[in-house]
Amino acid sequence: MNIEKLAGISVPGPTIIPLTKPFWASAETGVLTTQKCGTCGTRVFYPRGRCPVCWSDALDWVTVSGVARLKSFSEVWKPGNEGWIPATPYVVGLVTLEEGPTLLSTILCDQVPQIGATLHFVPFNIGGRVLPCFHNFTEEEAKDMADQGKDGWAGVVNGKPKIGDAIERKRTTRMEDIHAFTEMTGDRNPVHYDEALAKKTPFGKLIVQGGVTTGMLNACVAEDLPGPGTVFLNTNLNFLKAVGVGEDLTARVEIETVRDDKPICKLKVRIVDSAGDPCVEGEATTYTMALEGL
Amino acid sequence: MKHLAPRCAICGIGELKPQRRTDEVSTMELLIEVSALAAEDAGLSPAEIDGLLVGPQVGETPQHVPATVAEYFGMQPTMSNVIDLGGASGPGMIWRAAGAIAAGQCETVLCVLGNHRNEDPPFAKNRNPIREFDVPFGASGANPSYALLMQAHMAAFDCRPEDYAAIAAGSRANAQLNPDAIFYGKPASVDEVLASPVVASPLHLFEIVMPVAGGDAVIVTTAERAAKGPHKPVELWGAGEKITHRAVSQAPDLTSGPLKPSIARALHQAGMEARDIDFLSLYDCYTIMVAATIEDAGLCAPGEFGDWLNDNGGMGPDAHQPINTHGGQLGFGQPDLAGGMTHVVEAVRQLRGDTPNRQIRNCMSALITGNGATMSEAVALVLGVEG
Ligand SMILES: [Zn+2]
Repeated sequence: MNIEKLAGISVPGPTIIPLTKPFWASAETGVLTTQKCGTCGTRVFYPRGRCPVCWSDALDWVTVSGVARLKSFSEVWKPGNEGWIPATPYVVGLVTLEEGPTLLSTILCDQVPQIGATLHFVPFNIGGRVLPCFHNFTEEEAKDMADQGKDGWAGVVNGKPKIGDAIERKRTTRMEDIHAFTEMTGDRNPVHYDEALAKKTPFGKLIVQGGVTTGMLNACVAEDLPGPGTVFLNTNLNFLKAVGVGEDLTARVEIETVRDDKPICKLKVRIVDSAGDPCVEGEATTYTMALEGL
Repeated sequence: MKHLAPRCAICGIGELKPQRRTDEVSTMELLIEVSALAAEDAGLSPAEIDGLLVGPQVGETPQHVPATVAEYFGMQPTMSNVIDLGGASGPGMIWRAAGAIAAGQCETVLCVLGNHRNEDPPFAKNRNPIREFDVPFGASGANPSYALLMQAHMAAFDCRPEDYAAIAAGSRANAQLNPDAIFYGKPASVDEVLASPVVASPLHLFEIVMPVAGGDAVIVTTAERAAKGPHKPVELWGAGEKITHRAVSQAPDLTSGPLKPSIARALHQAGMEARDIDFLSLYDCYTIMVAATIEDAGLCAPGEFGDWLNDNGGMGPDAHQPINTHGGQLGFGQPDLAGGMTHVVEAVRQLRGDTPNRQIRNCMSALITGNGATMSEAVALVLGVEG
């Protein structure tokens, strides 16, 4: 089977909803889970809104060992979805976890397996997504496999960040910032220029454009964390307090999640003023291009 | 006062508080929530409910809706349906439930409707459990599911590929007697079946139905009216139905399916044994389906379908119990959902006694099977003519 082709294929991923998200999110980090009914004890897979045996809603997420038995398999030569063609022939199997539930998965193997074979869970990159797969390799082979093709951070200047890594940058706003921003964008809002008028607004003072403030975040991710080569894929910001001229700001970014297979991070971002009040708070997703060797 | 409707009563109700907006919930979450409320109100456990009527779930689950809902609910109903009557669906469910109970097919029917108001419109992409948990691993379409069923059956009973291939070859042979069949003029030997490309091991191309355009219709009426018609009336003697799951990973058994209890009920209603049936009109989307059905009908022990077919003298009109004389869907072609009805239509032809080229001698009874999804939705009928 063409294991090395799996990362590069273009195929449909799971249609995750809030109810099922814990399963996928935890599998991606190498922890396989199922639901367990607190009323009747049934192990529930796939995740449901209620236990399929007693219809109780007392369902908890519990970790399973990841050791499983192959219940059946098929080597697929003509896939139903064309995106899988580059990986043919590949093996799909029914996998019965030692805790009870059966799930369908892609089986990573060199040779066609035997029904009844012992398999082990491994998070594996299929089409750019890390999905819960199963393999029958030795422990060492499996470790190589897990590392193989998964380092999406190769060539990144500052390397791969860790969850919880954080940095801060400080800066004082100036009237020149307002002029420079107007020069760039044409934003000539009177609340930035007409002091008498601005005093009568709820702000009570001249304020800088929002972009002047949030621009500090661009500097944070591009200069420090994740570092050179970083661009934003997405930002989701709440503007909580207006920022005046001459304000001492501190911007902070903290790594929330890091993907292994791609240089993509989710960050918690926050900018506070000298009073310690948050002015901007939110989340951002970044992509860090490999610049080494270019 | 005499009432004409079937006698029944409503014993439980449930209702969700209306919400202007919902956030990425699945319809299934809402359906099981409100059903649990109704069961609680009725003082019933889920296992005491054996009938299921649901509404269509546009986009989210385009096909096999009752099986998808039943699997999510952990139910294995013996009567289920989608009632698709717009605002009349609710009331429409109530009398159908009564009718199904009066027909002796179930005792307690859950009638449930529900919808979300997520930001994505309900016409958004298909997002039922199979789409989320099977498709991302490379198991799109029916082929991998039946390959998994066949692999398990082969391994459990040490059956040979030739045994399954003989079903495809027998179907092709029957198709040579039916000029309408898509494989008329194109027989295939066991060797040729095994030489056809592997699609998903252990399934070969010739063991899989060919999709075709087509259509089938059947009219059912009262015995009195049927007696006045131009043909010998073909009577319904027995019926049985069962759903056990939707996704192959959730199948309670890979080598035997819900046709087993369905056939048993249909034969019981007809007062017959499988071995006494004159014509077997068995749903055959794949060769494994016929193999498993022969065994689930009790015609032989599990794993012995190959020997049984040999002893039966194959599948043709002269066999001991002829099978799929129109060529089956493996020989005739599968006109999508009408494919299942071709087994009814061929049985009616044989029972009338006027099938050109392939009439079975003294054909008085027929067992018809229908199968859906991943050997998970089953209906069996016994049709017959009075001697
Ligand atoms: Zn339970």
